[in-house]
Amino acid sequence: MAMITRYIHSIQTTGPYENMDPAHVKELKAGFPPAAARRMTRLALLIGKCLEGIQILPDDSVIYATTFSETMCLESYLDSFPNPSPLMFQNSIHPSGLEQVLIARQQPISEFLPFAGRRHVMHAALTAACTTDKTRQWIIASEEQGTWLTEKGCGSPTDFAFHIGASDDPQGAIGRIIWDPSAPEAGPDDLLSLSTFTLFQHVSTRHTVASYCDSLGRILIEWNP
Amino acid sequence: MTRPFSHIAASGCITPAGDARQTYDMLLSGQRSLRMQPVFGPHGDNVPLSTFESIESTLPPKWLTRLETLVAHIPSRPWGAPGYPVVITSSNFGIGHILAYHDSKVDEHLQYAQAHTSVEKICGHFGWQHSASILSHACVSADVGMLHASRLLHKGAAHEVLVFSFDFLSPFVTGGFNSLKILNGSYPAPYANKENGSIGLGDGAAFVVLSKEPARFRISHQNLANEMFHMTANQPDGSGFRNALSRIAAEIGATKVWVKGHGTGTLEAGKLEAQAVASVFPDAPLVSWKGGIGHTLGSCGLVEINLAIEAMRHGQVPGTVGTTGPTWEANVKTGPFSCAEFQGAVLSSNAFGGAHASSLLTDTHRMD
Repeated sequence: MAMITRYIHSIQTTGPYENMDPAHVKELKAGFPPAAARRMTRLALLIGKCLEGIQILPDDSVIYATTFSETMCLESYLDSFPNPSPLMFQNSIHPSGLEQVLIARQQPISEFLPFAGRRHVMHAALTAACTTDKTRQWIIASEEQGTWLTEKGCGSPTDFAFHIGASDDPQGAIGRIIWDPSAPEAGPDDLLSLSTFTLFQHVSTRHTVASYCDSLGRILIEWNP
Repeated sequence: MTRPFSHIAASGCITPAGDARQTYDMLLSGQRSLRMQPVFGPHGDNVPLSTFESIESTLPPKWLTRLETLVAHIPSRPWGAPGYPVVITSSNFGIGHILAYHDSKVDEHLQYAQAHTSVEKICGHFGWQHSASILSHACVSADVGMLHASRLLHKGAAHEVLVFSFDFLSPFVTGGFNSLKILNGSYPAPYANKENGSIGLGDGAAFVVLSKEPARFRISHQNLANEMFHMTANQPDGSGFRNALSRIAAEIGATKVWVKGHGTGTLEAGKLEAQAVASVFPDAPLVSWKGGIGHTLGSCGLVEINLAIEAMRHGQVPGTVGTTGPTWEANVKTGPFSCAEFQGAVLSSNAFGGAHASSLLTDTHRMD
């Protein structure tokens, strides 16, 4: 089967931040109406920041990926037992981070593909960008630092978010994503794991990404000079 | 645009009522597996839950052992190897273990608590390679996974795709829905025109193997739509439901269908859904089975496709168990009906954020 190429037109990153200053959180909240910002998680605010100035259209494909999801919210929800908090419950449900942003923007979309996982999560998300029938694709990923969940290995050590905006149109592209579903095996330099943070690092520095996953073939991200 | 068919080479599900056939038989007879149980396991107000056993998280997890009976029916393939991708979906994964850890401080619970760790345990337990795509979108998780799996199949990554979904209740989840005041002390009556409503929640797990090789049942016209109006509410004028259903209605044209709706038992969403189905598919009977087996959350799309297949196999569609008396619309079927005159079923699921997923299930024995 033929390889599929998507063309990258925008990237935006925010972070990584460790122990984010409350003043910085306040800054992030300024991007949203106060009533919405009050209820939003830090993860959602980070996603909002990395989508600043970006117009998602209703017929775009929106692909989201996170390993740990709403870590602080989850901690608060657990602490609320035996009187569980309805707000913390609804915000703790994957993929609430991006949903909070799109709801604050009142932005309906048709296709929303939220991935979870760790080792292959970004490989799977990039594969989804290559298999969708939609002509514009947004790949968005984010993690939020926790407290005791992070200490236990169940939360991210830092806050960060990024997006890759892609389409079928090569005109004006800054890079491309190539998916080879038939690649029989990994190349010598291929990554065998593509986590949210690994791709964040590669995208931030515009490093080439070559990733292989047994059942999903090979993904290559190249940047134009 | 021509939509490809994904053929269902194999399928199965488990609920507290049994396998797909046993669950179907229970629904057809108008019975339910929901029982009034304390919302937090050993304590709390009684709410309708359909469970295999106590909802408290144990070590080793009861749910992992429970899945063995389902996995035994999955055809033997090198799942997770090239050509045989696995798509795993859930809204809960092993999240109950994180509350169990919070209460007990037993570290072992954390090995099952998150999406990636619970899926790693499942892959390891059943000998699948650790290359699964994991999708989680609340109560449309399984539907989204089916769409992704279909694309892997038709874009050249797969000979066959295994879609596997599991959701088992825990105090984390039941407590959350109870706090939202939608899991209350009465049995669900989907689409009933009344003043109070409740959902019921249920354990459930299911799989389908999608293939390009012709099989009796096939899925097509998979559609997604997301209102993004409010986290826990739909557009009050029902436009979200109508828009989502209009899309698949336009694509399937004159295909004569019945509709397996989402119908959890909540009042507002049930009313909007019933009205939208009546408007978009005026000749289609509408049923929901969550008044019988409860809402199996992220797995409901996969559990219920198995029940729809059973209905097509046996020619009788179970009615909306739990609902008696007036309904929001006349096309809501409270009792069983024959599907002999229909060419297929539109299967619909909804989720937080105003998410809608729909697809067409067809029985080639009736199309030919």
